[in-house]
Amino acid sequence: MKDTIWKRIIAVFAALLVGIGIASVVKDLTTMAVGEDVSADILQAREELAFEEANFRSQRLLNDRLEARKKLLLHSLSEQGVMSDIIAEHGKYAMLAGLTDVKGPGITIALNDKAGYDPLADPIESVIHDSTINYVINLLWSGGARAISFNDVRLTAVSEINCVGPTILAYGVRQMPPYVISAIGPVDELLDVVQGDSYLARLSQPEVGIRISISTDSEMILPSFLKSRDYSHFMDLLETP
Amino acid sequence: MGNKKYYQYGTLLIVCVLVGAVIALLMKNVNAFDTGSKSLQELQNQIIEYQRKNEDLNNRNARLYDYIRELERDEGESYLLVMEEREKFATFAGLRTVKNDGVVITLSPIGDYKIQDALVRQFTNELSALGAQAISINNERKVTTTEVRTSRDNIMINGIAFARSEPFEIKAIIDPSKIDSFVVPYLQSVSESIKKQLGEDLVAITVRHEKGIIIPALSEDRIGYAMDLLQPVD
Repeated sequence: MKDTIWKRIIAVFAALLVGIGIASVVKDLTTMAVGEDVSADILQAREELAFEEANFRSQRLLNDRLEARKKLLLHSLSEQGVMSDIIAEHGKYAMLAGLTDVKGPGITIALNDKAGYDPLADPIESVIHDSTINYVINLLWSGGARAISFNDVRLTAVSEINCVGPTILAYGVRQMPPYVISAIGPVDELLDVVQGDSYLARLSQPEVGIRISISTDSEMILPSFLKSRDYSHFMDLLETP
Repeated sequence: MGNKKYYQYGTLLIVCVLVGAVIALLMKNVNAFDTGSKSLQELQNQIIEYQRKNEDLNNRNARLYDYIRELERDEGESYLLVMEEREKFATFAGLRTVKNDGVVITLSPIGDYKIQDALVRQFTNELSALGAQAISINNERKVTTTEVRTSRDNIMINGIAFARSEPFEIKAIIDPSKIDSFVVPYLQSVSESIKKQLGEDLVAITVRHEKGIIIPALSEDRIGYAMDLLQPVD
């Protein structure tokens, strides 16, 4: 009797395996054509992406040259005593607006999601959200930061950092972890506010698991906002009263 | 009797084969869709992003080219050009008063409740994400370096203390075509969810569309003007 039950069980498993095998073969044969179509689409998309990347590099190079030329011309006009006050203010406002590369002492905070994040077991805070980024940025401003970049995107007066689904965007540009926030400012004060913050301390506890690393630099360079976006899109609604 | 038994075995075997086949087909379909469509979608997103960046750069380069040509000609036009750009930079930095349609959010504490900095930040962040181009909190212009931070009974904004027991008014200039259709209803839904979390009787939140909002420039004595630790890169 026992023998018969075992035989039945083995027969059922064998039949299931045969079924899976047959289906795999049939599926491979029938989807080969579809798979080729998908690969062709991917190949075409890769080519298109390579073209756009190359275009971006050449536009960026041209932009660097034109910006350097403009800077030189303004400098030379200023040296000649022509509009020197206006040119000085022009440079100052560009710097305050985040539209020039700047350097100075500062700190860098890198934030990353919990390693091996499990949405069923881990708390929602184990993944970095836009609110986490905005919180750290506000913390750094309150510590006296003079300029901040987020993943190499320089922040301006209205820092547009938000989530679309699981993706964090900065001024519409998609960002991927690790999220690196760099701030120029008084290093000791900046370190104090970050290291003494209870919310960040909680995020780095093992149960939440956010990976946070902090480093300091006696001189760091933050890029101009112009290297990420054209500022005119972000002020076209502003009228003079 | 014997035939019936074989018939039962035979049926069971066929059913099992069919079940196995169905399982395999389902698994393959899920995997194929996942890998194929995800990577293609990812590539398409990247292409769109690069196309937008290239369009941005292309327009900017064209403008820069004209700008440089004018500076090189030096026929008096360059003065106007530099002045115009200086004003644009100042406006973008929040150093000029600006005007347009927008929204006004008022956060009023009820009873002994004190407004939390996180509540003010949540609304300013929502407004930024909605595309606001100028924001003020209690008439303090939000600029690059603006912090919103609780310090005992006050909230510090641009180094100025505002009592947490008093109402906070946040103004923002935002795309007029979206205010009634999306911005106000969305911010009202955010308010409702906040009130549910905090409790209805702690804070009153109003959101309204206002025409011709004036948002003041950053006062010249504020910390936002400090550039002492910044140096331009050569």
